[in-house]
Amino acid sequence: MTTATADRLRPARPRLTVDWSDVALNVYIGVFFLYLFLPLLIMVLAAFNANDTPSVTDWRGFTLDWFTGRTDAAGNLVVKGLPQEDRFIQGLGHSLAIAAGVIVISIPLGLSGALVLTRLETRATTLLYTLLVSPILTPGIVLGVSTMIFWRDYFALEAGLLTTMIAQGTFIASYCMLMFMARLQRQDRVLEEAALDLGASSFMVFRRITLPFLMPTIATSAVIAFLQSIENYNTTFFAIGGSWTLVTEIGSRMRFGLSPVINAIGVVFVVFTVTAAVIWTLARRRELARKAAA
Amino acid sequence: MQGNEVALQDVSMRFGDFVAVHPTDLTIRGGEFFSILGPSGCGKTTILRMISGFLRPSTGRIRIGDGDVTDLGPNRRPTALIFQNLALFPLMTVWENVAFGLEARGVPKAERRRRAEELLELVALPGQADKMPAALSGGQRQRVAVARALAVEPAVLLLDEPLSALDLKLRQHMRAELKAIQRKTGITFVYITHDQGEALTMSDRVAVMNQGRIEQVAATEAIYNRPATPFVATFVGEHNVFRGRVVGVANGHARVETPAGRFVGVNADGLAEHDEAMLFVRPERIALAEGHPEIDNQLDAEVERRDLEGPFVNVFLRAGGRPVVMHLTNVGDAAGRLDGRQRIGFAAEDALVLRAGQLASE
Amino acid sequence: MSNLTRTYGPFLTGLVLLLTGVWIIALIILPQVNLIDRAFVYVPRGGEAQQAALELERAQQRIATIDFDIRATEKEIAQAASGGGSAGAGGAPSPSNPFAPGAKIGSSNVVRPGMPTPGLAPPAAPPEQRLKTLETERAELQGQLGGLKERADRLKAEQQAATGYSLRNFTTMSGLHWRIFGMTLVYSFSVTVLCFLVCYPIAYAVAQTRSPERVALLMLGLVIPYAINELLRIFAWVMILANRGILNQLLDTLGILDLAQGEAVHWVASNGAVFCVMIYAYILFMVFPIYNTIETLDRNQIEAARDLGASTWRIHWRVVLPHAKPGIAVGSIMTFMLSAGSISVPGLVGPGLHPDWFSQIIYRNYFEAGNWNIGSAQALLLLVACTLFILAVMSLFRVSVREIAR
Repeated sequence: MTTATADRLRPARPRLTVDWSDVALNVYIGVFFLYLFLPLLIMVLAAFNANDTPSVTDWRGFTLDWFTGRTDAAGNLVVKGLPQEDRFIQGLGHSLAIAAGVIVISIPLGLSGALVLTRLETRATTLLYTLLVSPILTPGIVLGVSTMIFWRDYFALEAGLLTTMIAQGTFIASYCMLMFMARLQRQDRVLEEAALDLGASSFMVFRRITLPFLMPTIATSAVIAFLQSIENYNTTFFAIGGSWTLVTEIGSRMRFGLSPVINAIGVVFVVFTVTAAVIWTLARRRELARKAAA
Repeated sequence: MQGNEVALQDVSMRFGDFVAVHPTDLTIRGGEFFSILGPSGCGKTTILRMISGFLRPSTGRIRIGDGDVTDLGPNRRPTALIFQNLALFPLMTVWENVAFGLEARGVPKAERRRRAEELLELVALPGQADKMPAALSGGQRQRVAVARALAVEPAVLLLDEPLSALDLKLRQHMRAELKAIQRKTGITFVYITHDQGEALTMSDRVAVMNQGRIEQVAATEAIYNRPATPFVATFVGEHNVFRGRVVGVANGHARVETPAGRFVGVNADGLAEHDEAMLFVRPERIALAEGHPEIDNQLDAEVERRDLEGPFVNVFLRAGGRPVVMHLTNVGDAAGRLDGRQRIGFAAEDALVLRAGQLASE
Repeated sequence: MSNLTRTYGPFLTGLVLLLTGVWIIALIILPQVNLIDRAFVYVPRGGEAQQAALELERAQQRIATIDFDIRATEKEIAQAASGGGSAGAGGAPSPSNPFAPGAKIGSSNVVRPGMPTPGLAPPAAPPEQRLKTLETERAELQGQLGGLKERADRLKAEQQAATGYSLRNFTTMSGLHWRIFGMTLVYSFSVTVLCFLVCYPIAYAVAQTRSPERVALLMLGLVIPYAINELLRIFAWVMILANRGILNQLLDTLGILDLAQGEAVHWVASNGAVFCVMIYAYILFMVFPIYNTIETLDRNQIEAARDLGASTWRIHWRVVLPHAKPGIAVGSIMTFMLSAGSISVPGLVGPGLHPDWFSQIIYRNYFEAGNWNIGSAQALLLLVACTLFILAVMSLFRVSVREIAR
């Protein structure tokens, strides 16, 4: 590998000794991942502790009560678990409704923005681009309040699920736009010309050529928009008014002290995330392997 | 089926300050194989895109058959274009590709499938209908593109250097096939190329373009034997060029004073005395002149190099400080031993005198 | 333009332009313009106009309450007439609207018109008599209403005529709030710098890993905590830092503290705790952009530099860092923006126990003090601070907007 000259230039280093910088880096990685995962592990473990303040040090026995709730022999609820927490369940419903709305808003907006930026070469393109990505770079709370007061001032629309949808859609559409732009830049424009030349109408070009090409990106954009919407707190908190989502409800519950039910929700989130991440990784590796084979 | 005539009247194209095509009149006859030949950037693709409808000309009208199509979009013209990179739809099967134009015209699926099979038969691709384009070889993809274009039964088929991605052998094979398909269908073919071999072997007539202007439109033989301008003379085939000044004219011939000597050639441009001129001679029309006093133009030249090219020997000489190339037929052994100072010459009928102008190599 | 219409026709092109226009104008520009507009309009608080509006509102509310009580009393009478029925109906809860504007603005010097609440009405009085009192009171209030409304409208119009654009929302901001603003920016900047220092070696190590299995594993290790909700990550830390949390339990076990004696370190009551949790919450926004850029660096460049005898330090300074610049810029911008605008971390780690962060001040102005214009001015300050930070990073790292958002 190395040339003789380079070997001479390099400080002599016996081959079999340990490379301390490598060891240090590996130890560092280990500590970093411990830092990332230890708090999450603690959160997960405490969900199974019978102690009604979430803890792992003060262990009062294994229980699933926080996931299921518990009723005594007479049928009275003794321990309130996840299914009995109506506001969490309703919050999840609100979150899903908002996420669905955000997908419906942000995919057409993102796609339109991407088409304008990639296909319409005007002198204003850079300005347009800056404007269209600015929601990503704006603090979430500013986006939340400005949307909330704007719709109330001009359309008498009270803060709620709809304003939250709009506020989230504003910046999630920018993420979708960036994904669509990346895809559109790889498109062979000649295909659309070929279709036109063969007599296709502009609708048919869009439906048979452009849309199928964009389909994978539409799918990933929908997933990303869904996740971003479900997870969002800062923007939602300022735009939701008297209503609530799963995440803002977790937030308001945390203000009043800790409850193991939140740990239970945490466990559900962790399980979902880990499963999805593992599936995603495996799918990606399979695709890479297929590409390498082709 | 008989293809339609394509007529360009005073058509020009400018992009901002840049003039891609100067005002041009051009008539392509119905059912002929017509090539537009020129170096890259000469405006030939622009003309093609104006005929197909992707570009709207800055001035002038375009007529196909009896209809003025200037204001129609590409999807409403009776033309089909075969793109340089073929532009097969990667997410559709071969037959869906071929039948796309029929789908656009609302033909029912069963009928589309039947037509696609027929066309694939025509281009010698039977049994490949359900494959994806990516699974085909370069030559097969070529045929799919041709079938797809023919499916819409165009009056005019436009081809934008479609063979340039193929290797030499396949290219030569496809030339013959394209020519055969054109004969069989009778469609007007407009073929864009920078390869003079392609243009000369396939076409009925050729237009040679340079810097946004058509320099000559003629049958292939005329393009080769009677080039109209210095550019055409040097772009199509090889020519020896002698620059000079006309010192005498008579009987349709002109005598030109050049650094290598005084030569007589056909006065194609009708030059008068004192005009600046260029005299062109094909390398294969130059012969050894030793002992042939009947040869009109003679000169002494120093042999610098010989390249054996099988049937020919290319002899590179220098006369009056200018290079001269001579192609000798490889018969006997005289050519192989040619050396030193030689007397060479060419007939006046084989030399062409044109008004001085731009050469292709410049 | 012709490019789009030629391919997609006038209808689809129009739709695309319309959607983009709506997004830019209605969702991006106008809300910000409205925010800026409010930021520069000062609304005097506790002034005559506001008090008049408040009195009007209270009178209207009182009428609504009386109407409710009248209905309840009538029902009571009807029940009494039909025989039996308890007399406790007078204690029915009165309608209350906690979200009514101005509900929390009331200060002690405001005289509340028409006091005793129906719940406190003497239950001894017979319902017919009560009904009569209520109806008289209602009529009286109804009579006042017109005058109140006229006065409130007049004062409001006067005030609107008087209020032009001014900087008063900014100039009236207290020194404390300015200090909090400054501290928030300093903290956010420190979070950004610390996150970078922690993340760079990680991003480099992952990007330099050769075995694809190991890369996949490391990426999983980064993606999972990144994908788990921000609030849950904060929650996990609150569990650790709480008064009877894991950290104090640990100190108790070590004998440093005695929790049984009520000794505890109030971790969550400090900005330090907020700071630590913030790093944990936003650190992964720094890792991925840096990783993405280092990953595109040709490994041979590092090998070549090493072969030429460059030290590790020099390789990073001259080869890796310059290549990673766009990633560092993106990571810094995201981390700073998220930290400066975070309501989740300061709001949920020891709520109310530690000194406020600027996001909390903004929240109070909107949702507790009901002073939207001062809130808008503060939100604008935050937006300007973040924009300046982005511009500074862009010029420092010499990257364009296009390189930032990819």
